[in-house]
Amino acid sequence: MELQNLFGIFSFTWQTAVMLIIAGILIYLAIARDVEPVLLLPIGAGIILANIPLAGLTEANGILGLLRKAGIETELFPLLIFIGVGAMIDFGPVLARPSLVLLGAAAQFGIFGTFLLVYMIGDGWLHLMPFTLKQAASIGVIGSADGPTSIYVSSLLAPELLGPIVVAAYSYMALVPIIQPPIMRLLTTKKERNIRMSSKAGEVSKRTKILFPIVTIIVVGLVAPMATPLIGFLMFGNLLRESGVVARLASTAENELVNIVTILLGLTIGGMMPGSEFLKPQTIMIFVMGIVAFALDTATGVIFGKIMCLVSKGKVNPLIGAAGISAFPMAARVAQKVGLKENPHNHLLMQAAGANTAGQIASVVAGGAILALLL
Amino acid sequence: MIQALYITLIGMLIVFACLGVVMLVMLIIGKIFRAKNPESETK
Repeated sequence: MELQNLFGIFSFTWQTAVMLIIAGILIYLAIARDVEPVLLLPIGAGIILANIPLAGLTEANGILGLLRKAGIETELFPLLIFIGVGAMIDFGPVLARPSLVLLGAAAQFGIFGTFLLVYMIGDGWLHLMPFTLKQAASIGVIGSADGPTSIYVSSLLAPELLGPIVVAAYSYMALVPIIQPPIMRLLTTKKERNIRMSSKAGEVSKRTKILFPIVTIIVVGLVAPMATPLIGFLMFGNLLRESGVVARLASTAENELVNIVTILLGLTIGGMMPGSEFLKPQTIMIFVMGIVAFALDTATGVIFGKIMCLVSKGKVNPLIGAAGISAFPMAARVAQKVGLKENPHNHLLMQAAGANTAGQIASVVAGGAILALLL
Repeated sequence: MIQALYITLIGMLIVFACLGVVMLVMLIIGKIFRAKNPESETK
């Protein structure tokens, strides 16, 4: 056997070095800065494993290759995570104030606006980078501010870009408290930020909470069939929670299931980032467009909040529009924090949580709509 | 580029239509069951 094939050190390239540094940064961010540690730590470890020369982990029969085939190419991992996400979310705040659903819908413009921009830069007009329609849509879906949706849509439309898209999506979700507040302040007046919303909300019966996931599956499934797997698994998890008769299953879904799948998903995503595939100019553009997507989401959410403020004659604080992005529950906390900064007695958390949970559903529907229009 | 604009327009339309219908259905269900269920919880 030749020496080059025996020792990995002889196959060590500059790409390997850069990827090991990137893995180190992700692991550092996870451990030292507490940036999405649950996912960035396994991704960092996965990148190291994938970039050890000659180890063969990412080959078709290597463990990372097998995980990719079993969990990503079949869309299994993101869907299983959605069961857990559904079991974690209390849709009570949005059910108590159904009009907040519209804020969730409006904030999805970040997905479509970014899609337009990327396609314009790519094959659509300027030809600065070779982004096809499907790739542009996958990058736009970073704006769903929802990891599983980004993974699900990208794995179907542009699996070759999955690695950078997922890292960008999760990184920016962790940066929501930094990205959102300046945009929120820029688009609102002091008077608007001071609007105190009524803390009184309608009553939500247990039956309504149980019917909500069932009705949502049927309605979304009929209007946007491609969103059925995502919304179906999300709402199934929520049904486990709200039914009140399978506490053990609900607990397993939101704890053990999510934890196990997150470990496997993180390692697999890291395993999809060998230097030769990750280190391309497109990756930089994906990261730039990711932040554009989050900014557009926030801006359109706040602008729609202003419209609702106008229509309701000043009863809606536009800040809660920013929580219409799906990053749950961080976006709701950001709205609350910005509101409190303006007026220490202005608590917006429940209203913002309503917009935030609506954003969760809306991002899934937007993902499904993109799949329906492009597949 | 026209196709991209079409996808954007129809995509946003689907999102609003879907969530609008969900909102309406939930409003109706909420009204029906609020009156009939005495064990309702306040949010």
